Amino acid sequence: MNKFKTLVLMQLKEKIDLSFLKSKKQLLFKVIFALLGFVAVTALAYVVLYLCQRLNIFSAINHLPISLMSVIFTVIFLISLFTCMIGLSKTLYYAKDNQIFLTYPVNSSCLFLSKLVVFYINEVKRSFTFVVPIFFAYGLLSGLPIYYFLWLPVMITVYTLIPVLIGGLLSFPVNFIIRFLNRYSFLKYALLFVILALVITLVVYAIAAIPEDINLIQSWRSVSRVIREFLSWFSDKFFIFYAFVIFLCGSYDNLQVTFFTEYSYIVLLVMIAVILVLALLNFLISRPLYLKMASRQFEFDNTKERKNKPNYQYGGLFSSCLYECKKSLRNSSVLTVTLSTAVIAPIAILLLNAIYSAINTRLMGDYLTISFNILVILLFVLAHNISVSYIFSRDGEAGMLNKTKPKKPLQILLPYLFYNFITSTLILIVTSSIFLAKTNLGGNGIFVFFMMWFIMIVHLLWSAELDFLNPKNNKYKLEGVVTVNSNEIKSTILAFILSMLCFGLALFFLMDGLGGVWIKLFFVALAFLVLRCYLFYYKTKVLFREI
Amino acid sequence: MGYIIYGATIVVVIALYFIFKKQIDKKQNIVMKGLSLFLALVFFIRYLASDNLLNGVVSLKENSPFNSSFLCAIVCLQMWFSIASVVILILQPFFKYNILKNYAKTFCLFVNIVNSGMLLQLIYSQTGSYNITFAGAFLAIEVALSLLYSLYLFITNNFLKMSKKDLIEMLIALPVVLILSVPPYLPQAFFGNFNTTDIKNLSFYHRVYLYLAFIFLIVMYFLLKRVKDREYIRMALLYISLVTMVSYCYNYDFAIFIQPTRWPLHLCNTAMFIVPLCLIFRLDKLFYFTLFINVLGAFLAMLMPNYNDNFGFFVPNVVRFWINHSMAFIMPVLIILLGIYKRPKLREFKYSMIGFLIYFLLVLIVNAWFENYDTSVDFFFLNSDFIVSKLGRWAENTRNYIWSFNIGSLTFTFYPLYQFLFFVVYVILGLGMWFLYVWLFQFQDFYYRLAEKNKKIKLDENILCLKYGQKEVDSCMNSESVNKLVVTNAYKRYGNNKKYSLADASFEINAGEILGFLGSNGAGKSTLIKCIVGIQPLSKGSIEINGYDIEKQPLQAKQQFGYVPDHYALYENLTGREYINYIADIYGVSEEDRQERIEKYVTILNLKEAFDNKIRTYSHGMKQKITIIAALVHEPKLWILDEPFTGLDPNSIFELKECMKEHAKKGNIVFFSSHIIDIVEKLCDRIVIIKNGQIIESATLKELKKKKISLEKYYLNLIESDDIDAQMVEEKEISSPPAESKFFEEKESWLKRFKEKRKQKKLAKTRNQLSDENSEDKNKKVEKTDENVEKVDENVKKVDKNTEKNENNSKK
Repeated sequence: MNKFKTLVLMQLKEKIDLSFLKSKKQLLFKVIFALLGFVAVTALAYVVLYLCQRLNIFSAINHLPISLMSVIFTVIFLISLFTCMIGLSKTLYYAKDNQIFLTYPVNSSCLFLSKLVVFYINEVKRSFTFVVPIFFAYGLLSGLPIYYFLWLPVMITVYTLIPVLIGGLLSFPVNFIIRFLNRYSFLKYALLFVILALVITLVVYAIAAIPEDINLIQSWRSVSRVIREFLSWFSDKFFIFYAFVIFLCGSYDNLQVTFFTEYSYIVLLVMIAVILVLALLNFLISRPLYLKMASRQFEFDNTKERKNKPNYQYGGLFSSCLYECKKSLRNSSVLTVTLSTAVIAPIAILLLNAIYSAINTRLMGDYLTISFNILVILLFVLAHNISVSYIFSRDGEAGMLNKTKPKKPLQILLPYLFYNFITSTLILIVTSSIFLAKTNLGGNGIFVFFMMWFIMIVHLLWSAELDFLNPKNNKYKLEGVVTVNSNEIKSTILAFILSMLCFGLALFFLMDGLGGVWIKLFFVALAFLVLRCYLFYYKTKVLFREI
Repeated sequence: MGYIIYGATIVVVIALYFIFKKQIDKKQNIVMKGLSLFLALVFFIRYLASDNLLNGVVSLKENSPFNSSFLCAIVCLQMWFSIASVVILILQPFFKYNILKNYAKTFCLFVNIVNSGMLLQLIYSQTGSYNITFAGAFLAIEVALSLLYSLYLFITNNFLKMSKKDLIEMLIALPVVLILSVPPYLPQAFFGNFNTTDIKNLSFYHRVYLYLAFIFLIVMYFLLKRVKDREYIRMALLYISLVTMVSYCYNYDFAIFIQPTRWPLHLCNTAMFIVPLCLIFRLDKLFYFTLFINVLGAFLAMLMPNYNDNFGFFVPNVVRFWINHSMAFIMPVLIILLGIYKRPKLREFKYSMIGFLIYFLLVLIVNAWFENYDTSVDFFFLNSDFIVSKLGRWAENTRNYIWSFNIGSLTFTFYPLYQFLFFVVYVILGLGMWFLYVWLFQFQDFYYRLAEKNKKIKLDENILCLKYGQKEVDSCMNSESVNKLVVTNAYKRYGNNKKYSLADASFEINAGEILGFLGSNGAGKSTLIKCIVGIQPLSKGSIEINGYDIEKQPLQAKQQFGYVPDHYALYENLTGREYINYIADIYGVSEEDRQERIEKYVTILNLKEAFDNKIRTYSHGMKQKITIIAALVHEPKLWILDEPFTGLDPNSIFELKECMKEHAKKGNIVFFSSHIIDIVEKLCDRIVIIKNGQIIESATLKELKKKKISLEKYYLNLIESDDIDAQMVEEKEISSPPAESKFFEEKESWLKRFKEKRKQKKLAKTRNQLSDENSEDKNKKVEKTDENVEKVDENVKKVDKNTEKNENNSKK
């Protein structure tokens, strides 16, 4: 048991920065920030649910149906399952620390369990960031009794075991499929092509299905009926989730909520049984596979014979950019993010604008449409650039070795941004073209595009700066992947804030009615870009030598 | 009559001066201070007693007390400048800065001479009558006193003489001095109402005021940030707070003392008096109250102004509102950022919250009490629905809970729920302010350090140029260390670690030598190697590679070496060939050269078959071989290897050793660390041994062979001896701490250095001039210049020593 505890603590310390425990002030800050974050997410969820309730979107009476919560819960569960599958396949089979852990005098079950427990703790942390606040907001809005707020965190903590255990079970076949596809590139590309074709067909179908004139107010009754029918269909078909949500939030009888009925005990028993069975299956199936994979060397995977290639000389900066692109294109996770953004973003904008153009909007509606387009485009493009927040760290020690090369800090660092700069710009050009073609911005379109482009570069430089000045090369060197990277979190928050800021400013200036909106925004973004460029140059010049 | 009082004042003051001349000359400072305070009193009485007719003037025509617009404009300007003049004269004896004296003897003198000429018009503008009144009499006394005061300073301070620096300083500050003292009625008097749309709800004109407030904060911060003297900053801030306080009080009169409902008890109004008080006296607790509470209140008020709708942009009430609230917002922030008060900690936050509680209770009682006399009384918006009306119905409902009781004939009404929630929300927002300040301070410190580091980098470059003549930074600075690796007094400390990882390391390696670097684990081998290759900066000392300093000329120095790290670090998604070509591109190796070298090393290290496969498919040894080729592809002058034999097969070890020998034979340097003593013994010409971060031995292998001592025994004896232990390193560290992270303490030192640098530039100029003169003179003068350079160097060293002493003292 002691060994197990040591293993868990060792891995936890590696994944979570616990340095704040040493200082009371830092601990206080950490607790306050965590609470503030929790309150903020709860408040946001409350506002959204409140609006849904007030607008009677999901129910004819002023009430939020429990089936809505079951839909939300199911979506969260599926996302959680997906992340667990991917995360566990990396943590269990490809983590570099495996080769060290396998040499420790602990039995394999202990090692396997410790890995699962560490992953589970991270998942619980994630649940408390999103799932619990959403259900708290629901509880506050529905006026649920006080014990609900104590009961909920406990049950969410227990429930989180399920996606982790299922993820553990499924991670191996997923991993096998990925490896299989990697081995047979033809199959991979064929599958990609099929998925792409399916998506395009689906989009064309969806656009065709959008009526020419959407009048939400007139057709609200029928829309509302469709929504309610969907909720009731969902509750029937996905009864397990529905039952679990009733178990969590209580069942309604004439708007009176009751907890801890016989029904609840049955659900509880079923949940415990499912967890036990899943744990057993993991132990019996995943553990041996884990040991087999963890001890496997990936050297000599490539058995193909290659002909000797010639050596070409390129200029220093061009060469760095070229090889940086090669590195990114050969990295499956980077390529997946780029491809998925490049496909999804234009489709989303196309769909969005197809719906908008069908809705008969007033002036305010037009303003909202334009601002919302900017928000969505920026969210996609900036989300694509989040990977820049660990682009230097990802190279591990090799990145640090760059410091020994006769290049200025900027010459070392700028090539890192080249791939994202090019791909994000291309994505922005495509999405903006669709957006501008669908709206009547005329010549102002050029200002809108450049405004978004400047913001994209601002985010790119800012995210890169986060990584360059606080790199995690050692963590990436040891683990290959870092699940909780503070730079990545900051970059994500930045992406959100910058997009919201542009959305808010665009809407605000449009509503102001003073004209010159896009020129103003263009210059604001330009000023911001100049400032960021200067700070990037200045900070990297002075601080890069010290990292 | 006005001139009679004016003349009488002048006569009395001059008479008093001559009667008490001796005493005045003896205790000049006290007399001046007394006079300043007297002037302040006269001004205060005049200001409150005046019935300022200029308040209602619009575009110099409407409501003007004069028929002529020109006259009206001149009077308006004079009344404006008078405020600045009086405040400058009041502050002058309390601060010993030339700028105040210079303003007093030029600007104030000019203003008061003109005021003397226009006394009757000024009196009329303030009283509505040319006949003498109470306010008119005091205005005459004020002008007379101010004139005599500035005239006295003019005579006793070399008349108009002042240095060029003082003149520039005065001219730069003049716009700020004048703009800040603008009375609220002045913009309307000159430009009219300008616009009568809403200056609320973030409309364009509302935003203009907000932008101005933030721009002012930033401009003032950057203007005053450069000033190192805190007393000077205090003086500047005190001037701002006083003139804006005068502007804020423009519509106050003596009646205010008997009309409590007009008292400045609104939160932001209090700031106009608290800030100057805090700057004059050391009122810590009051200051932190204003820092947390007033700033927040002022910011919220700026977002939700409470003046009437459809006011013009330049209406005096609006201008007054913005002077009041922007100053309540800006001043405490400026004071704390410029270091007049120490940064708040939790204790200070507690004080401010206690202060807020007292203020809140006071206002609560005052509101309930004064409501009996005037129903409009609403200090801090505790009595009205001004705040809740902006938040919606749910907030308005909180005011439905009313608690009312009578004491005698007075009725006291409270809104317990609303007022309690108000308090709680404000405290939470105050807590938010604390976090915001912490973030702001971190931000400020970060950029301050950044600027200091940047200065240091530039300074180091310049010092290097000075040391080795006026060469370009790109050229080889030290011809003595060409074809050598020279490590001189190298220190390295990681972060805030007390212990040095490397302490006072010095050695040299010459061309053609193979040097083995020995030491136990954690002795500092890798640290030194990382410092040599530029991965880690040194805390102190220097490393020169082939004449180039790694810290000051990193690009040139890095071009000289190839590095094999202790653990392969490669881009695993590239093929071996791609990686080597990438490295060759960085070093600018030509296509022919790289073709030849890659072919050679790939064959020697037996890597031909896998060379075009991705690196991630390589074994440990193969990866190590790739790093070796990458280090040699540009034929470096110095080849550095950190434990290179780890993971290599016997064949490769042999080949690597051969490569090292061959590289050294070509006149290059090979420097490697290893734990395998046998290899070191057979391969090296010389060894260097490191223990606890200190170089403890540097010996040639020939010497050891002569003495018939095996390297292994020699090494073990040295390592196991207790002569040098960790204690020494720590002691050494205390006596000579590196200057790396002490930016604040080094500030003074750098300033002095900069002064020296300026001198140096002058010297360089003289050198250039000398080049035109005859050679003998030239040589002599160059020698002198060199001596001066040495002196400068010595000075810099002295300054460094002083800084170290200061640091030690501060530590003690």
